[in-house]
Parts: sequence; structure tokens; C-alpha cells
Amino acid sequence: MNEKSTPSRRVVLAGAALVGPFAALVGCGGQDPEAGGGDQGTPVDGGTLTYAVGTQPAAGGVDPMVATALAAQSVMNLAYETLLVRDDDGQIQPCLATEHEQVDDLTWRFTLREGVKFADGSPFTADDVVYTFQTYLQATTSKKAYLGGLDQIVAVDPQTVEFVFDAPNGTFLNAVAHRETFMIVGAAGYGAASEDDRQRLTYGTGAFQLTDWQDGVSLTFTANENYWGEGVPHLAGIQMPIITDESTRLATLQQGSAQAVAFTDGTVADQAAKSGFELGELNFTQSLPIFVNPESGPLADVRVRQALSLALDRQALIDVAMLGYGKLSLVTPAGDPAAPQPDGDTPNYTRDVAEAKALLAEAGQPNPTVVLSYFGDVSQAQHPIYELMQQQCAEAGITLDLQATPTSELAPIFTAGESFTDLVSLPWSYRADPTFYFDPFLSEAGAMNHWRENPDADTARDLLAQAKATVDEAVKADLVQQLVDEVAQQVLILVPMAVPQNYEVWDSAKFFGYTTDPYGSRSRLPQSWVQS
Amino acid sequence: MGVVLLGALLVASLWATIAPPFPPNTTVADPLLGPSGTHWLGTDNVGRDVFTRLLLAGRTSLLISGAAALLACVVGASVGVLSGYLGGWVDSVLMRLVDALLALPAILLALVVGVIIGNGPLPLIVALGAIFAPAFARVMRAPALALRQRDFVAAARNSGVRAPVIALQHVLPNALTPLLVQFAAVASNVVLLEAALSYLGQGVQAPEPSAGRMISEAQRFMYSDPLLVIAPAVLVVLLSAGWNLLADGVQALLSPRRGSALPTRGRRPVRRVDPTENSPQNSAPPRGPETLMPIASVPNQENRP
Repeated sequence: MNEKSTPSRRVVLAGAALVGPFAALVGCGGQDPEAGGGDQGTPVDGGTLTYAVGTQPAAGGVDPMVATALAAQSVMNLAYETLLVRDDDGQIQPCLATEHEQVDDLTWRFTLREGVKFADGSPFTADDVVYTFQTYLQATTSKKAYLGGLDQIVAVDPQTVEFVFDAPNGTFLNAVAHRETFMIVGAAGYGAASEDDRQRLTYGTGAFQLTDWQDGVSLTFTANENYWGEGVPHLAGIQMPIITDESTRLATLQQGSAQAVAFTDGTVADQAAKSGFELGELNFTQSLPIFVNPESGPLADVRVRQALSLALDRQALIDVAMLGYGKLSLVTPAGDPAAPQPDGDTPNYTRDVAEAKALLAEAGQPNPTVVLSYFGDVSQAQHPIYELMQQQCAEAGITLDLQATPTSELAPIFTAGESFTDLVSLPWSYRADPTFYFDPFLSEAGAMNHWRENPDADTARDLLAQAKATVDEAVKADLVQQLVDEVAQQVLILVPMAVPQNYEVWDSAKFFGYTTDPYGSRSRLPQSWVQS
Repeated sequence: MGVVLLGALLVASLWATIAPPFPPNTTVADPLLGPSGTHWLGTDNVGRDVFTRLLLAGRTSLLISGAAALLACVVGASVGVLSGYLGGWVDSVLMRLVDALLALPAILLALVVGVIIGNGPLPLIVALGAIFAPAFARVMRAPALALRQRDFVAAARNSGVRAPVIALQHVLPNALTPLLVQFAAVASNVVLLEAALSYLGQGVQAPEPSAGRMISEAQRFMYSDPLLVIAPAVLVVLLSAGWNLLADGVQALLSPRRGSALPTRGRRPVRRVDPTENSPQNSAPPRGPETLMPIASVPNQENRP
């Protein structure tokens, strides 16, 4: 099947041309300034925003070549920029590249923005892009998976760079437009820094740079004086105190010690909202997949897996267990603008206890016991989901044996591919390309892939391979739709719902011009300001 | 007072076991309902009846504290009596081992043991029993050490009674009071430790109710629904206080000053000077409670071959 149709060069350029001049005004945040704080008065330059967070970057610190943790991403997003970005509707927009075109099936060309400088004052050129991607290729990062088939990167001139592949790559452009994937670093600043400095400080073109990191205490950002966006950032700096306890963060907001706070628990954020603080729009970009091991036990039979899925009342899980802070979702999170959404036709998604019992009887396992392991020491807000699932499964005759397990015991499953019994719940977050949500359990290298050589996953594997090699967006979207349906039909993975990664809350009497973005990257901070 | 408190909790637990007001692990109403005539303490975040779960949490805690203390008592007292009675290198080795275990923080040890043998009530009982056994060993070693020098023990030993029999039949009964007091005190500590472990997610597992788990689950709602935190916290206090009061009661009841025949915590009975003290029949060393022992049945040394 050949789906390698090439998008029109004219269309791509037109899209860039429409947004390009505007993007030059406000940076890669790329949103209409009136939409954010335009009705909140005139922006005020200066001042420091205090934004309390719960975690700090972990292994790899804030080095874009190494760090992948969520806490690191939200820090790196402020300091580093990408060639392209996606807007709130999921459309690709310019950032450090003003134009992009697919010259042929194997070649992508980017025209770089002029006048951009890194925070250290060195100019941003095509050589930096070449340096960046070559460094990614040499690094031990999972991001390299998006560069499959990349043959060479050529700096055509100081403002033009070409990526030449030896095979069609349907995920490359999405990865380049993903704020958290290929962040551009400079050969002069980042290249000259020590490994330790790269992990503790930033060297990007972004509006804010991390200039101080007190371990476990706070992160300090300073406005980038060389930032290319016109009139931004307004803030002179951002102070991020690290407060692990949700209730303490809430108290910090209520006492006025912080103007903005990020919560991970919707109920705490709701308390803040009820106290009069602004709760940002929720984006359900974290699906809660439950991985399946069909190698032994009852789940080897597809009918048992289907019965398990049919036993679940997903909307009740959202309404009761998550008190409404969830959204029906497929493997691809509901909040991903590029992802398909579940509907009434999604196989095995509508609860049918009678059908579930019939399938179990047909499989000769009317009362199977299925083990479900989950993080017992973290993500407490999600624990009621499993308890309610247990109740729902019991009605169909399935005993769900809940195993709250320490993180230290579960971590080897997704880091080293260690095996597990029946089911394991491991949340994941927004990814650059829809096909990459399937990698952990369908690709050959997937850590949670227990479907190798299992015929139940043959069709899904084929669809995934086709989607990854397809550049045409419409054809790819169709393949992804088929893929999610096939995964739901065979129940290769269970997804109870998607939840927000973060709940951002702020004091709208002190902090202005800010709105959340669908990707949780805090990309509107350059356009925001504070008033004492 | 302790007996009354624990008895009341036991009755409530039995009620919840035999005829619970609601299924404890099932969603029976909307989440986070306030107290009402139907749900006396409201519902939790999954819509389960808090009162029913609280009663069953009390049962779980009573069961674990009682069983773990009993296990610790059996193991620890055996080690302590053997150590004190046998003395020598056995005493040294056992006591250094006990010292080493006592030096480790109980909660850390419980977490490690939990990781090794798993979670749930039975592993908890085993883990907590093992953790508190050294406390019993320490408590029992002292009276055993003292009693082994006493005449009736020497008589038994000289008459050929084997050491384990002497330890069990002669030494252990004479150290019963500190053992009982220690039992209640340890049970009180087990209540707190079990609650802590369950709070940390390493104790009683979902969906079974436990006071620690209930506090942990309700922590997110402590501003909007404080009763969800307060109720299980009060249960922990009542259980712990109940066992502590029982310990005090046992000590008071069996105290020699109340005329008890059993010695307590190494205290010796206060003897008043008796004018007949120097009479021939009283010239023997002061006779304590050991006179209760069937010493008459032990042949004296002269009768030994």
C-alpha cells in the first residue's frame, strides 16, 4: 500500500505566511495577544511572577538531549524553542523556522527566522540546527525514534536547512512541531557548556532562561534580553518554588505568596477555584493506559479481554472516581488536537455486562481473576479509578485483584521491559505524533510490548507501520483511526480515560494575560505580566 | 476503661461483620455526601458509606494489632526466656541480635519487610509481629535472668527437669505481669504503625478499609470534607488509647500493692517488718509468688540419685 502522497508546497507556505508576521510579534506562544490579557489592561513590564510547582526536573536536569521527565519539559519549554509549533487547534505554525516545505518524499527544507539570538548573544543560524540534530542523533535519547531514516542534515545557507531521509518518515514534521521534542540549542553556548551546566542551566533562544536552581527549593528564570519576540517577555523573571505537597501549594496561593500554582490533583485545584482563583482551561493530554500481558493467564483469550473492556462504565469512572476530572479517551489522549476521539462505534467501549458475561462463558472462564498493578505510592487521585473498576468488573463476574505497588517495583517494567502479570497501569503524556502512543506496546522495541508474534496484534502492527511511513495527513489520520479501532477491538490495551497533566490556577487580580495551552507547556508566560 | 473501650469497638466491628449497614466496598450513593440519617458519616470520594467502612477498619485494626502483638509475644517471650535462662553465649548472641533489631526504626523495618513478603493483613501481622518481638525478648529476659537464680528453679534444674520445661512451666508464669502489660502496649503501637503503613499505601490494600488508608484517601478533601479525615483519625486514637488503657489496667490490677500474687515489671513487694521475722520458719529467703508453683512436686536434691 503506497500512501506516500506529498502535501502541496503552496499550502504549507500559505499557512506559514498567514501566521508568520503575527508570530514575529509575540514569539512561539503564537496566540493573539488580545485573547490572553488584552481585556485585562495594558501589559506592565518588569516584576517577578511566583509560580509554585510540585516537582523539579529529575534525571538529566534541563538538558534537552537527556531530560524527558514532565517536570523538565515544562522548564525547558520556557528556555528552548523549536523550529515549528502547533497552535491550539493542532495546526502547525512557525517558530524558529518561518517556512517549511517538503521538497520531495525524502527531503524537508526549513527557512529560519532572521534576527534570532541565543540568550548568550550568539546568533541563531542553520549551523545551530545542524549541530542540534546531530547532537540528538548521538545522544542516548528516545527522541531519536522520530528521526528514523534521517540520512543527512545540510545547512544550505545561514537561513536554510535541509533534512534528507533515505526512506519516507511520516512522524518527522510532527516531531519538529512538538514543543517538547527537538529543542534547538546553540553550538556556541550549549556546545561549550559542561555536562553539569547543561543539566542545571539553559542555553536557548526562549523568552526566559533558567539562571539558578536550588535543589528541592526553587527554580529561578530571568528574562532573555536578546529574545526575538517584539515587546515580550513582560516579566523580568519567574520564581518557581518547589512545594511537593498539594495542600501547601494551595495555601501558598491563598496566602498570596504565589500568584500562580500548578496542581496535579483536580480536587485541590477545584478548591482553589471555589476560593475565587482562576482555573485554567483543562486539557486532557494524559491518557491512563492499562497495559495488557496476554502471554499467560486469562487475558490470553481475546474474549476475556473484550469482556473486561465491556464491563467498564468509563463515564461512571470519570464522574465518580475522578469527580468529573476526566474525559473518554482512546490510546491517543482525548486532549491531543491531532488525536481521534471515541464514539458510540468504538469497539468494546460501551458497557454491556450481559455481553461481557456471554463472552466469558464462551471462553470457558465465567469467573476469571485478573491482576491489576498500579503505583501505590504516587498518583493517589487516580486510585479510586481502580477501586471502581474492581466493582464494575465484579458485576460481570471478573475478580480484579488490585496490587498497589511501590514505584521502585513498577519502574523496571517501563524502563527495562520487565514482565508483569495481566495488567499494569502506567500513565503517559502528550506525544509528538499520534503513532508514538502505540510504540510502547506494539513496536519491536516497546518496553511494554507483550504482543510480539501474537496474531491478535498482527493487523494493528501493520496499520502502525503504514501510519508511520505516511506523510499525507488525511491518509495518516484515517490509518490512525483504523488503528485505534483495531486496538479497541482486540483490547490490546485498556484506557479508562484521559486526565489533565496539570491544573493551572492563578490569582487573576495579580497575574494577567495568561491562559493555558493544550500542551501544558506554559507557552503564554512571555505574554503575561504581574502587578504588585 | 481499656476493656470497655476495646470491647465497644469489638462489638461494633462484629456488628459490621455480621450485618453491615451498607456493603463496605461498593458505591452506594453519590460521592462526598455529608452526614445524614442514611449515611451517618456521609460517603467517601467513591460513594461508599464511611460509617460502615470505619467499623470494618476498626475490625481490621483490632485483628492486626491483637494478632501481631500475640505473634510478637510468643516469639519474643520465647527468645527472652531462653536467653535469660540459658545465659552465656546464647544470651549474648540473642541479645545482640535483639539490640540490632531494636536499633532499626520500626516503620523502616516494616516497609522493608512489606516489600519482601507483600502487603495485606497477613503479611502485616507477620511483619509487625517480627518487628515488635525484640521488645518482648528484652522484657522477658530480665525476669528470666532473675528467676533462674531462685531456689525453686534451681531445685527443678537439679532434679533433672529439662531447661525448656523449666522455662515454660516455672519461669514464664512468674513473669506474666510484665508480659501482659507489654502485650497491650505493643498492640497500641501496632495500631499506630499499621495506620502509618496503610497511610503510606504499604499496609491494608484497596478496597479493604483501614483507618490509615481512609485518612490517606481523604487527605485531598480535608478542607471541603474534614469529617472524612477526622473520623478515621479518631478511630486510631480510640484504638491506641484503648490498648494503652488496658495496659495500665493490667498493671494496676496485677500490682502487688493490690495483693496480686504475680510480680510486676521487676518491682519487689514491699515487706513490712514483722516481729516474727527472725523465727526459724521465716529464716529462709523471702518467699515470693514462686510459692504458687508446684514446687512440692519437684523432688528435692537429696532424693536425686
